[in-house]
Amino acid sequence: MVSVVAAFSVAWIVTTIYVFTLGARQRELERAMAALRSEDDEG
Amino acid sequence: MKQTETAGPAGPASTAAAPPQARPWLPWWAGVTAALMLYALYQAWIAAPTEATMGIYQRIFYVHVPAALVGFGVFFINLMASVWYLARRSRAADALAVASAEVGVALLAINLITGPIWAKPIWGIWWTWDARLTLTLVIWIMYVSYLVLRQFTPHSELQPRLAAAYAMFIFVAVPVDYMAIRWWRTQHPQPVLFGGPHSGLAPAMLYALCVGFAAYIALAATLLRLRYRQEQLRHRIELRRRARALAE
Repeated sequence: MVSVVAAFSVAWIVTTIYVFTLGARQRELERAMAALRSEDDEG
Repeated sequence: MKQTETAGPAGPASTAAAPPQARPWLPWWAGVTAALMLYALYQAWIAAPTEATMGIYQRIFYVHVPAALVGFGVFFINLMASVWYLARRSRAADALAVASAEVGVALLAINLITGPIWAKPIWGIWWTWDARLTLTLVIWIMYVSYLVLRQFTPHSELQPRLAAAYAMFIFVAVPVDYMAIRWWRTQHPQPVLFGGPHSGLAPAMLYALCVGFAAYIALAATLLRLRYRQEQLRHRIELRRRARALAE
């Protein structure tokens, strides 16, 4: 029983970590693009 | 996978000059994926009958197998995108190649971790160096090295070309891995699907497996699309930076 719970938990954890990684990267990219745009507007 | 740069809901004040990327499809895809994952969980845990010899441990099958086969499918997308890039020098193909390699690595990681968790109570060992297990680990390491190679080589015209050539080389191992349990005697069980007259699953088990496949395909499609759009955005940022550096 413990093995089965562990296996499904691992699947869930790996997926969650990857989704959070994607989210963090998306925020970083959007911030970089926003900074470039605002610098262009100022320039 | 067309990307709109200006459409989308108004963002917070700090990003007012840069509207966030429009992703109206995301809640729908995410909702469908979550619903399918929950249904797959119900099928694997409750609806599917308990297997006679392995007992409850066999239920790991419903996550272990779809993760591997959908991962291999995503690596096939990587191969197709790499060929497309080499033929047409398409930026979209390169973005799709990066996205598919990363999603495939995540899916194969699930397969590689759930495998030993299943093996320990059934075989009495966590791991053995048979053809199937070893090849799967080697494939995972090679795709990780593909991503590392892309990350740490300077962005130039040569980088995606090298990556595409490397991706074509790596993929050769995927069909060999798929066939490994048919060609050689392995500790890993013989195929239960398309494995000849002695293979097959009870209808309720087959249905649970199909639902698992559907859930993983939906998950892979959502992640692929998100990652693909990120790669496109990263490329646009890079172009802007280059243009600015040239102007200065």
